[in-house]
Amino acid sequence: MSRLKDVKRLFFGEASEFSIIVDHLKSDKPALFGLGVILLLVIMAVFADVISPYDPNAQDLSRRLEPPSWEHPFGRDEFGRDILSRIIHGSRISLTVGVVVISISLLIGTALGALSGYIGGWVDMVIMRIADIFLAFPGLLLAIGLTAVLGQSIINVMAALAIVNWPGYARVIRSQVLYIKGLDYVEASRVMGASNARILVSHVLPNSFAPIIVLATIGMGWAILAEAGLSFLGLGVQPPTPSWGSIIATGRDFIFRAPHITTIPGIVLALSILAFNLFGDGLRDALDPRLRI
Amino acid sequence: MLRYIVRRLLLVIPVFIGVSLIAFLIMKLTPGDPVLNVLGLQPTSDPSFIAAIRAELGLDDPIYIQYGKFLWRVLHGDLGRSIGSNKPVILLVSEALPRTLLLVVSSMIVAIAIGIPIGMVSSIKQHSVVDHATRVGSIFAASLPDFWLGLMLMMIFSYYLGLTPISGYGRPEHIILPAVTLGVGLAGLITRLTRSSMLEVIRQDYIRAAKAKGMSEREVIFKHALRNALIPIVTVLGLQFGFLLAGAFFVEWVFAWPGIGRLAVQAIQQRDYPVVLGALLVTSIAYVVINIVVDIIYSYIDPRVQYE
Repeated sequence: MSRLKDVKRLFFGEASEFSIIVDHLKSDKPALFGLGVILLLVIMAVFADVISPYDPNAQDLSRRLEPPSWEHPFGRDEFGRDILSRIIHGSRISLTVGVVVISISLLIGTALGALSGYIGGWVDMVIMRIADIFLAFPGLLLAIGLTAVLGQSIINVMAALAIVNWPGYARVIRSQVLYIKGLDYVEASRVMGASNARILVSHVLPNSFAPIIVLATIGMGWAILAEAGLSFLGLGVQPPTPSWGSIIATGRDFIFRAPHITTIPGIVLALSILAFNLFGDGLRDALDPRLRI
Repeated sequence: MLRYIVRRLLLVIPVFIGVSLIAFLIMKLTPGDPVLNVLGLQPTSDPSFIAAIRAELGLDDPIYIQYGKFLWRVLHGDLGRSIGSNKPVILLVSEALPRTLLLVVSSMIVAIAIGIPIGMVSSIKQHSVVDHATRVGSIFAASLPDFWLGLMLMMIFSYYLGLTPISGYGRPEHIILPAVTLGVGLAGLITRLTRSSMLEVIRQDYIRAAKAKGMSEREVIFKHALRNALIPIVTVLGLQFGFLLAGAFFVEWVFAWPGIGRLAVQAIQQRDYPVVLGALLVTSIAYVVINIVVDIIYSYIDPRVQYE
């Protein structure tokens, strides 16, 4: 669909901005694939108790390391637990970490970024220098350091990931705010007597939505990967709670005898990250009118 | 130009203070009493003796003085001693860091060797099957978790095919699998960047002019298009350095590569906090310094960069 066609449809009232975005997404096959996988993950996480064929923690040591079979399509792990059920339950951890980390980062990033861009002056300088320092650290390394000293738990993993993740959002929001606050219609609403808070909430923030939703979608993939990585190093979810990263980590010891323990959760993990990346990419293309060519 | 470089170098100071402050705060958050950590005493030891040592170690000082002393020690290369081996942390870290840098640089070479040619072919054959396959393949490569990919490559190439050593360090072939594992994700990114950058460049007037003058397609692509398309790729390579350093933590752990990542992960598991902090601090400083070097190189490659 061409850009000119979009403008025409908008101009003649044939379509709203939202329906144009949906149309673009519908024609973007990779993005649709991503969305499909994401929906599947959500269903898996919400209905884990109903869907999973076995208790994820039920052990059967006499049948440990069993390869995939009709009875257990993904095989059994080193304690004879059903890997499929563990992967289904593991999706809860992955999605929870993703949603919580991105929500906290967004909350902190939006608040600080908006303040920084809108107020300017020394407030801007202080907030941005703090953000710079965080951005100067390789994020995942800082998260590793923080979880190492805070202690191994899922709450600490989420806290550490949110702490290292907010500056990116703050930067984007700040630049959007700086751009939007200089536009004529914002100036007009100020002349009409709108307060700073009102301008920020009703004009500036809603218009900063597009880049943020893209960042948040791709950020979900990052958070899921980071959680799996930390759990792989033994810093995240503690046994026996199933997490994709920790299943891969335990499978490592049996990689040559029972490769299915490592291979299958890794494929699920990679597919999930891919899904968020593809959908984020598609959203970026659909939300940015310049890319709709 | 010189002013830009000096200003860029001066910017290291606040970043270094911030990085060291975060490291210091992490150290303060560390569970356990540092006196007991250092001396290995039981909590039942004589309280007056412990109080004397606390005073001697400066733990009774106000927090900003403690930070000042910490910064002074770090600037003098004193990162404390490992609780496990009692060796100076700086010694362990300075042994491991070059190995990690070797791994990171090798993975960059792998990524460039894969990413640039594929990205070029994809852009020249835009909208072809090759182009579509490349786009999906590159995003897939960037989505693969390093630690899992490492295990898979190890299983296929070392165990089933017997082509490479399973893990370790010392012989040149030891670096192949770790470098490929770490480089694949970056290769995906470089492929996408090369493609989009080339597509942008080959639509420019000077490319059309070069073709109109009768230059061959090959000459236009290699002499004009690629050279200009490389500029954003160099920047991204610099920016990716930090991600590769973090990725190296996982890859080194998988392949038993004795770099700074493996040192840190081992220290985390043994709760050897001075080593963990030393490794993180040195890695972060390396990251900051390398970013600055890349910025300066970038200003040489592209004279249009504004030094404001």
